[in-house]
Amino acid sequence: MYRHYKRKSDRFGVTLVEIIVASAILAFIGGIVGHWFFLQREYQGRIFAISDAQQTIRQASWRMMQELRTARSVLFPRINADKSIRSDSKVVFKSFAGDVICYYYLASEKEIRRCKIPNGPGVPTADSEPVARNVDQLAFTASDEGNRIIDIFMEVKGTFGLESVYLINE
Amino acid sequence: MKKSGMSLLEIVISISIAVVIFIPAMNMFSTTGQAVFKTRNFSFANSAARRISQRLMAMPYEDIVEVPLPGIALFDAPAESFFAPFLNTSGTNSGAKNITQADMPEFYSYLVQHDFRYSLSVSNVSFGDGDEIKSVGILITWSENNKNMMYRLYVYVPSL
Repeated sequence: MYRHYKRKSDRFGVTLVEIIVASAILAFIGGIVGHWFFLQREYQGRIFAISDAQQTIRQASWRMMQELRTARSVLFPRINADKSIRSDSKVVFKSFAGDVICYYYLASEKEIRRCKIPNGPGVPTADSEPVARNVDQLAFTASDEGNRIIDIFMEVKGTFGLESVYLINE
Repeated sequence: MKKSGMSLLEIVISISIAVVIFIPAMNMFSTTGQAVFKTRNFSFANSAARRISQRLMAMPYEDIVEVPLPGIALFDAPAESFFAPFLNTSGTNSGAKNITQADMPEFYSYLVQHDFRYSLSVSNVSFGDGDEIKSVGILITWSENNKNMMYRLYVYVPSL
C-alpha cells in the first residue's frame, strides 16, 4: 500500500482537481480583467467623445467669432420690440467686406453651415463643407439694445460651450 | 516528497503580483480620463468668463459692480444678470428661458453638478481729468471631485 502511494506521488503532470482549481482561478481573474477592459473601453470612448466635442465647439466658435467680431452690423437676430432678448438658430450679418454672411444650424444634419451673399455682382453661395458636424444644439442670441453683442450657445454630445461676441465695428 | 506543478501558495502570489501590476495601469487610464473631464470644465469656465468679459464692454459703466465670493450661480441666476435670461426664441419677453431645471434640464444638471459660479472683483482707476478705467477680475469657480477650482480673467473697461 505504501509503495503504491509513493510511486503515485512521483508521477509528473497534474490531477483533475488541480486543473479544475486552476481553471476556476483563471476564469475568475479573466472575468475581472475582461470586465475591467470592457469598462475601460467604454470610458475611453466617452473620453474621446468629450475631447472631440470640445474640439468641435472650439473650432466652430473660433471661426464664427472671428467673422462676427469684425462685422459691420448684425441683421438677424435683433432684440424684440419689447426689448427682450431674441434667439435663433441662425445669424445674419454684414461682414467687414460688405458681404452678407449667414451661419445657420441644420437640425436634421446636425451641422452648422455658412453661406455668403457677395457685396456686388455674384450669386449667393453656400460653403461646400460645414463649419461643424455632430452639433446637437446651437443658438445665437441678441441681447444688447445697441445690437453689439451676440451670444452663442452650443451643445455637442453633452458638452456645452458659451461665447459672446462684441462687435468692434458697430 | 518530490513535487511537480504549482502550489496554491504560488498561484496566490502570482495573482498578487499581477494585481499589483494592474492597479497602476488602471490608475493611468483613469488619470487620463480625469484630465479630459478637467479640460472640459476648464474650457467651459473659460468660455463663461469670456461671455462676461464681452458683455462688460456693452454694459453701462456705472453698472459694473463688485460681485463678492462665493459669487452668483450660473444656474437659477437672478433676472437681468449675465446668465439670465438665457434664450428666447419667441417674439416677446414671455418666451424667455433661463438656465433652470424646467427650461434647460441637461445644461442645468451640468452646472449644478459642478456648482459653476461667477464673481467680479472691480477696481477703479482715475486719471484725474474725468477719465476712468475699471479693472475687472472675472472669477469662475466650480467644484470637481470635492476640490474647489477657479478660472480668472482680467479685463479693463474704460469710462468712455
